[in-house]
Amino acid sequence: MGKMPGGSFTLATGASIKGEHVATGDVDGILITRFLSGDRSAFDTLFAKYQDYVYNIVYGIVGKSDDAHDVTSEVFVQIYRSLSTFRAGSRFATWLYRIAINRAVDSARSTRSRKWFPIDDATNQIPDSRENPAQVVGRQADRDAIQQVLMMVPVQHRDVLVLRYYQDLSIEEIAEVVGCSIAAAKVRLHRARLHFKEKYVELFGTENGHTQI
Amino acid sequence: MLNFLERKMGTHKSNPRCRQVQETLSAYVEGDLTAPENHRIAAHIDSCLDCRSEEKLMRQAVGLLAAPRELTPHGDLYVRFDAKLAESMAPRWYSRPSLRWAGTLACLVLVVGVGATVVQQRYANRAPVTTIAPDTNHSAIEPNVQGSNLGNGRTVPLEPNNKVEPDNIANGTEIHQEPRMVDQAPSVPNTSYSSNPKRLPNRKQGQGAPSEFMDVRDATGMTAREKIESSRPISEDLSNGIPKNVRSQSGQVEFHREHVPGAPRVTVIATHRDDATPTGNGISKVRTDTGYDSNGDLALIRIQTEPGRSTDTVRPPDDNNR
Repeated sequence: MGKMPGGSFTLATGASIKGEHVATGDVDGILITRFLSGDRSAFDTLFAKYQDYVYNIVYGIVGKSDDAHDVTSEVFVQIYRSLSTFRAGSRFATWLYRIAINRAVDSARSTRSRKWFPIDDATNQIPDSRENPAQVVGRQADRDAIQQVLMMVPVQHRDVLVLRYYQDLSIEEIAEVVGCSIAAAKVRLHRARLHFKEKYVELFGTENGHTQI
Repeated sequence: MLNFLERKMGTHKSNPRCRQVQETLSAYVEGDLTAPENHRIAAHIDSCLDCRSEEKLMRQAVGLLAAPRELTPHGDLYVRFDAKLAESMAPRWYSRPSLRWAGTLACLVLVVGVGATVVQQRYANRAPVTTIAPDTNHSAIEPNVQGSNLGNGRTVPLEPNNKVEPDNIANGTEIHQEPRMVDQAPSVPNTSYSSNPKRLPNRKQGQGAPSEFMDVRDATGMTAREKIESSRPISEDLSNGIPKNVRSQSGQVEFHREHVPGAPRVTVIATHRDDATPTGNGISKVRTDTGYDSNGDLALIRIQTEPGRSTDTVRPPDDNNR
């Protein structure tokens, strides 16, 4: 199982009264039910739980820190306003990731005319203080390289790469989030990898990979 | 060396086995293939330098993708979310019924106001059509309320309603006027008063006539103001007999004695020959006021001329009554 916080849970469909989702044993379901009952703090808990996941997906697709923050906040606004329409029996994380992917792809397409890569954005992230400086610099270089190559990959292939490698989702989970069959998800992922490799070679050459930066 | 030659000749890409490996290389790197497929690809990669190079690149790329990377959003993400949420939840001004109606009403008022202004300006730019016609009581300028479609300088027949009233004619003798052709003031644009009643001038002589009409020059080159000033009455004492010719300011007045059989008195008819048009229709007569003394004899005739009325004709008196 990948980095799906709610991945191991499925909303129980046991009781649904007036559209409310009563999910026994399901943390997300309980939070949703509390929120729909008027408890704003339940939504704040969902926000705190998923903000990093959503932000990483969005950033992987839009490639710009400021845009990623904006889109992430818009995703949660959409979640907040449409949570009452969330179907019981669905997985909240899948629904959330789908919204995040769609929003991020829309944003990336709207700014596709920008050919430059915001290299300073990647360095604008908050490093993990537990790492030593050398590790931080090395990982930062990797992040820059990944994002630089990823931004050269077509948007329709970028999302599956982000879900697979940023979120460690399985093929089945990717198919669920993207809304296609498992076979189609495999094909998309394969083409996305080929695209990524081509752009990687195009950008860094055939030797030593990203160390040529 | 062989691999270099294959690459130059393009045989690597065209080799069916190499192409098959390329198509499954990412799955091979990811370990998504079955064991037999995995073994077959591995065997080819061991024997093919190009595919081995491709496999190495794919591993580098996928390895880069799979490198652990977790970004942490800024601490103000929740603040941004909260602001956007508040913005999206804020009621729009047009969502409030009262403001929506107010907005609609304001738009309506604006449209009506603009429309009224446009219509007003359109008609304000039109100057009224006037004709200078003789008045049975006095020389006057009156608007042509019937000739709204006339162009400049055109003439139109007026209704033959210009009979001289009997109270102006002694002994009940009537002077019949033919249907007249009235000149239109040439410099006045073709516009009817009827389209804008507010701009109709006062029909009483000397009152309320717009100054622009008073200063318009007609075919004779005179303005209405000049005509009014020059049409002062000429008085002649007839106690010593009827004079033959009297000079007016703009022409010559000729007198004719007229007596209708059965009528108690002889009537003096005065006609005016305009200097501007001395022949033909130049004979004009506008008005005569005949006075009598206490004996009932003809004592005074007052003639008011209206110069420039070339189309204003009077039927000559019957010679038998002289």
